[in-house]
Amino acid sequence: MGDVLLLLVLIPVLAAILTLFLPAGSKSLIRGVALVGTIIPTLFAVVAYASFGHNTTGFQDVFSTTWFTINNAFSGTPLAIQFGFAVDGISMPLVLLVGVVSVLAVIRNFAIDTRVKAHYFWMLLLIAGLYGAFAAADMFSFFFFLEATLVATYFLIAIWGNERRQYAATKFLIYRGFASVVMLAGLIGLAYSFASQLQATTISLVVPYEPNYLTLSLTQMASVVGHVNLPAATQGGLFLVFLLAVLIEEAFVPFHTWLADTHEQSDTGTNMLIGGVLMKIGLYALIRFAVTFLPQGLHEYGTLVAVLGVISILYGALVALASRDWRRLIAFSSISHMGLVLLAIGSMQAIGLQGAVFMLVSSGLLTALMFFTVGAQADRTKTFTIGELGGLSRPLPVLSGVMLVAALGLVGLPGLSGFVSEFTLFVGSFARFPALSIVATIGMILAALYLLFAMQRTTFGPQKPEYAGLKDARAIEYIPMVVLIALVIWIGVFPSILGDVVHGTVQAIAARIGG
Amino acid sequence: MSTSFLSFQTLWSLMGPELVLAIAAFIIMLYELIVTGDAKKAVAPWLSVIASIGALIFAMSRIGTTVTTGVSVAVVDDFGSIFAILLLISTILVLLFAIAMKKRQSLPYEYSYLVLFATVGAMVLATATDLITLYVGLELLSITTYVLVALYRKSPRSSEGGLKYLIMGSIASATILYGMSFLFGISGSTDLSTITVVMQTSFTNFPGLAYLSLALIVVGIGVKISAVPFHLWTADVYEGAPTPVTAYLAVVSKAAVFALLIRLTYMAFGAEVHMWYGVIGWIAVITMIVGNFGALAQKNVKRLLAYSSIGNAGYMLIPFAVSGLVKTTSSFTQGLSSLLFYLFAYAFMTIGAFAIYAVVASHEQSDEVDAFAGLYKRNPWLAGTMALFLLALAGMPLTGGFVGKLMIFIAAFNAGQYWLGVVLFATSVVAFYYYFSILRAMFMTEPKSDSKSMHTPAVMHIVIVLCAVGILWLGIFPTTLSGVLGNLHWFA
Repeated sequence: MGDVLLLLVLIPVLAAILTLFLPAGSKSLIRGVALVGTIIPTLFAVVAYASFGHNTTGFQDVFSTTWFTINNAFSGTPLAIQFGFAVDGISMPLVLLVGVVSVLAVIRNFAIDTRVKAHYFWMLLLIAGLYGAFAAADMFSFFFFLEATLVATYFLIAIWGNERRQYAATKFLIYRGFASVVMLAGLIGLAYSFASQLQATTISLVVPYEPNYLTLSLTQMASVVGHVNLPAATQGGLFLVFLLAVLIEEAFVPFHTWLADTHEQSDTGTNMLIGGVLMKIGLYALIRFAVTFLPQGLHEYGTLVAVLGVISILYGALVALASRDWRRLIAFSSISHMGLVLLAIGSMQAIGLQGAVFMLVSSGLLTALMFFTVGAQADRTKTFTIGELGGLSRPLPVLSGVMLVAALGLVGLPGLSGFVSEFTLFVGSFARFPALSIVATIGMILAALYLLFAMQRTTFGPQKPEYAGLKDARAIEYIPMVVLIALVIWIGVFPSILGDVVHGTVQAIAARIGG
Repeated sequence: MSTSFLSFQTLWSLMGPELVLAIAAFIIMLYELIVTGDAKKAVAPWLSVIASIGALIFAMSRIGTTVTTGVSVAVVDDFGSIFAILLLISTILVLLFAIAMKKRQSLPYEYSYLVLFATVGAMVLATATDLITLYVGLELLSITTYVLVALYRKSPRSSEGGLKYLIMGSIASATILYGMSFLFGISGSTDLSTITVVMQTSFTNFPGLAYLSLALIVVGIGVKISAVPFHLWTADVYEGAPTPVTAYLAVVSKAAVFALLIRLTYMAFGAEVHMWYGVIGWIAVITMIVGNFGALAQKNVKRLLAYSSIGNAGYMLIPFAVSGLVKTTSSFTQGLSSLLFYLFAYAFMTIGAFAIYAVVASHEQSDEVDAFAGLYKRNPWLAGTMALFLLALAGMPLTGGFVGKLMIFIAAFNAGQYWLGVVLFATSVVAFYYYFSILRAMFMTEPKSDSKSMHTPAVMHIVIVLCAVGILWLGIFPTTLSGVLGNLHWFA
């Protein structure tokens, strides 16, 4: 099964290369190639999800191959640079999230008519990068695909964005670029500390471990993690490095300004990919690397993480309340919701971590849906400015209805995925930080306020004459809406389809961090 | 002291590739005296290319062989051979580049043998083990490059650059020579192996003289590799020089002086390396920061690439700066491997970027970033390959630039100097800004009014393809080079 994960990355890349050889004029053909190049990996992701073994806590579907080695990297032993893929209960749902959102984004951007060939080339590379980042079971592979998303997204924003696209693209590049560098320092630092600690212990290396101490492979590190106790100071320092990387990467306060610009200037399909998937990588990395391998660091700085989370929850919500542009509102709303994930991670409870993964998936689906509907209405009204809209429920009943579902999902209406996520997450956080959690719930109240207020101004109220003749959703627009709403409701009503996959891995991590 | 005389036999065994080049250079010089007219313009540069290829094959055949004689002129060791290969490959690329520019901005044909003499000097810097020989190599390289920079006699900028380079370079050479004179004073010998032995104790016996000598040599070399704060000449000279010569300065000249830095300082001052590596580390940090931030303000592509080459000098100083910390010889050679790997990648990406710049700039009659506006429409091939070189310079994965930086990064971590590695990648992010400014111009702006599609000379295509294949090959199959580097016996 390991090759499935390789195919997830390989097929979009091959499709991207194929588009390069197609004539730029045959737009339909290029769109077709892009669609096929994203649907096939999505089907593979579904298969992998369906056949995911619920009873094991470690990595599954492991694929690994050595690319090259660097001699004398540590105490005279070489370092093998590998491409390694594997999934566990945390990455599996996110890999499937990439699959779902990528197909819908590709379909959505059939509407793009300029430089179609280049557009799908970069989009397919971005999708490959997203798959790779979540499916990576190797620190090098993770960094490699993170860089791939950086370049691809830069081009997508800078070429197909709105008026201030170049400013936004450069800002995106610099912020995320710095985040990647800090992340790399954390990753290599972790690997070296791990190696020197491993060398100091007298255990005989278990079978899957190479005869070398230094490795970037998570599967190898996981096999000996029980025997390696990094010094508390090292753990704390490395944890802070990862935390800094994630704060920039996820646009948490005080590094939040770039995300609103990015979302405001990007096209809708790209926004779906950025908001729906790309913005989950940072927190995923925090769980994957920092929480898993630096439990004492989390112990030491758990409160800091939670406080930073609550600051972002409240700040994001307040700015969203003041936003005049739908895309900025969604950007700050997603910062606010990602703050909840930080709070949950800080709480160090198994149930909180489970809620965190739920929130990543739920927010991914809902943000993508939100961007899709907002983009669809802007196609018709030519504006994203909330104040200029009004009374759209009459000419656009379907789009307005879907938008409402998305907003209610983000608010946390029972029966939708947002509720399950917030509920489990708060159960975890109340156990450790009751006071902070109460403050955080204010953010949820604010979310109801800003989302419903904006909804009301967009869809209700007197119908503006210029919007009278608008046509409602076209057939092709039903696909993304139906798929996303179905998933949001499915997770909301049957949380176990997600929970069964997540549960085992989260329990194992929580046992290590003593939650 | 030494009773053996320098026979041609000995010299040939020690400096074969250098002799091939030098003899070829003299022949070409005579050829251009005798032959006149178009024939010499067409033939002379190709003769240089053939001579360089011959020398390259010769140098490659010597990998793995070690020759030491009683004569303290030079040695044949893998350190010298691998540098010779790097220098010769770069020289061939630059020569082809110059030939391709014939139609547009023809260089006076004297360049064809001047470049060869310069390369002989560069190779001597990598192989010589005697202060006098080293200095002769340095001057041979320097003086010929002063002439090469000023080769456009009628261009005031070229002459200005030449003069500036002459003054700065001469002062640097003099500084190095002054530093060498103290080494001779302490040890009573110009032979590096004798100096190595004497210098084991000199830091305690003559601390003042030893440190003065070290300081003078490091400062002089700092000027030559344009390390900050000795970099101020770089942008002006690079801008004024004919573009193939700029590429030559950025790659061959810089790499050769790095060879000098390593062999001379490590052999002469290696005994107390733990006392002074920190200074090199700081120079590396300042160089990375100033080079990359300096490039931010540049609108002129040549100056931009000049600052980028300053930043790159900073990256390349890291393996040397951490060499004082590593406990084992194997870690030291890993540092050298990472430096050499990066130098190879740097040669391909820099020469490739300058080559495309030269085509675009001469077509648009403009040195500015704006000249690249809308290149993706006018010539997708040039835009695509330029994007490759820029992404490689920015250190993106799948290019040799990334693997090289990763190796240097690992070398820094291996030595426990995490901060050097972090500064390396952090300043690379700053570099995104200016490399991507060219990408923005190429892919995200519309071409100016009536720009016609761009004609690229066939020879230029060869240069671009060689550089592009080189940088991709190093990025995708790094083992082909790193495997070779890993098996070298660096010093005799």
